[in-house]
Amino acid sequence: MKRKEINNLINSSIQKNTPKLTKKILSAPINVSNNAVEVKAEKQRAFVFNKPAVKWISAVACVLVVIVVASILGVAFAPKNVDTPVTTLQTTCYQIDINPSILVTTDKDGKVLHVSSCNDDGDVVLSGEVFDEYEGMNIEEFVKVFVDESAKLGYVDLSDQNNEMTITVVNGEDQGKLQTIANTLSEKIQNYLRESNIYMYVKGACQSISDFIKDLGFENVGNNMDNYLEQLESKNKFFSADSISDSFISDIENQLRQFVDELRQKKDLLNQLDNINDKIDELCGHDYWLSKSNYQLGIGDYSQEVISLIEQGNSINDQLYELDLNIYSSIKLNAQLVKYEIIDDIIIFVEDIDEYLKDKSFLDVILIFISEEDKEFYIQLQEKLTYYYEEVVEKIENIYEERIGKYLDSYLNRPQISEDDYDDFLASKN
Amino acid sequence: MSDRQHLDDLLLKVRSGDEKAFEELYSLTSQKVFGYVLSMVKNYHTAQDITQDTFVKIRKNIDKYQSGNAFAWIMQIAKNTTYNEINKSKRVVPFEELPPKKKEKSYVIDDSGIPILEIIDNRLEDTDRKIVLMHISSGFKHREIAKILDLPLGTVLWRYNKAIKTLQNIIKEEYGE
Repeated sequence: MKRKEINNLINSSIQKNTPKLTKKILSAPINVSNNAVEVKAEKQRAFVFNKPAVKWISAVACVLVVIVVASILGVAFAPKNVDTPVTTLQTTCYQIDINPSILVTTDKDGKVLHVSSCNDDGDVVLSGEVFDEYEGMNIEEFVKVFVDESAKLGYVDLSDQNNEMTITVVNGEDQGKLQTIANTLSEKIQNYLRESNIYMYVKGACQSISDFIKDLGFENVGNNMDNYLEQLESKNKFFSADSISDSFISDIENQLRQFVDELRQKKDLLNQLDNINDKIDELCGHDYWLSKSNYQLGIGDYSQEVISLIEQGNSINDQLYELDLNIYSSIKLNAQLVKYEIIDDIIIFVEDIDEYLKDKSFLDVILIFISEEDKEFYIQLQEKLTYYYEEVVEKIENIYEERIGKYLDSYLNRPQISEDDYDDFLASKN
Repeated sequence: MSDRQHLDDLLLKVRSGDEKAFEELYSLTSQKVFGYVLSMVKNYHTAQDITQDTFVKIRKNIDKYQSGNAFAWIMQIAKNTTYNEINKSKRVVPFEELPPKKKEKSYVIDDSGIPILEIIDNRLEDTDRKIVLMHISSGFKHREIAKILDLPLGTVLWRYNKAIKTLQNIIKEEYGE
């Protein structure tokens, strides 16, 4: 028996056993108020964040964003040994692209911590023995080895003086500062290569983390993250959540606010669509979906009022579609969880918004920063999260099913219209 | 109009003496109140009595209702009535004054034939029973239950899911569903 069926069974049994309205109750006097009764319209509940939750979610989301980027790109601290401006972050990411393309992580002294590839060619180059011991190399030395190896494998012709390299710095600081870091580092590397008679134009670029992640796609972010984090954590004890989170908080907060705003808009649109549906039902005895299909197929004779309602419904539908895409991307962006201390806050947050969610990936939880000492706690937590995940997913599915359920029959049985007919219909309207 | 606003409307109408509104209010909320009370007292008769007392108190105190969260107001009365009853029952009664024990009436079973409320009473731990009934029949959120039972939210979630799995297993093994 499914959970939903158990819920129904319990509710139905409770209903059967609930006492009926008896004379004992009805004989009790109603203390009528002397105050004038004023039926207030419901004050639309503003979607206000639980502040501590926002703070924590934001902070940890920030950390995760950094870690996710780090895990894919490799994270490098602003390298002091190249005289670049020091970032307020402890880590910065570099994407080095001469096609092959790779991602490099360095520590705050500019020493390489980790390297990974961005494409197949990068994979081939990095598989060379020369990269077995890259850890601790200066970024400039590392880049030179990378260029040499790429040339050896035929990816780059070093006799060609028009070669180009792009170094993209990715982190959450302001773009101006990032660009300065990127330019300084590029120049330094360009000069370093030149000393070895490698002539290459090295271009500095920068990208914010959120843009970077959008470009990268969240599907990719998940790949290999666990292994990478494991390595990064075991080797870099300084990789502290708190110290790198602050500068991202406002950015993530804004994203969360936007996300909630979109959910609120979605609720409004769904309500509007419900109203339109009811009105159409009143006027012609069937709902918006069927009327829409019939109208487009030229079946039935609809009054101007119904046609106008159908068109309003179409417009709302389009808006809902757009909004769903945005909400989906927002959910994805915020789905990269989370440090364990804030799980309760996250749960509260989700309970607040779950009636507007249809996408369960919001709860795809990835736990990080779990130390050995916390192992037992971690296991319990995983258990709780798994249970919670299952429950909320089901709840969300039920809510969604309930929302679309009333339209489902009409929708599935609606008359079909061919593309040609639809084009004709649009043409006839024009 | 949302459910919350509708309940608020109904209470305001009851406040002005509208009996029809009270009937509707009862049909909309009595089940949730009963579910909550049952979760707390684990006795069919007592739960029915307390549910009725709750609605008597709602009528008597309706003049104190201020427009706002109607359901929370109703549940607060249910909670107070339940706690009063629990406290009353804790008072020591001399043995000879105890009324003769009535044969406990069993729950009415729904069409499925599965005595789910009896299973919940007899086969779940007391805390799990409370959590399941409060969440499913009264619609309390997990964090509200955590507050009522003074348990960490994570524990409530964990126990809830454990209890549902237990019920699923019992129903599967003993009723083949």
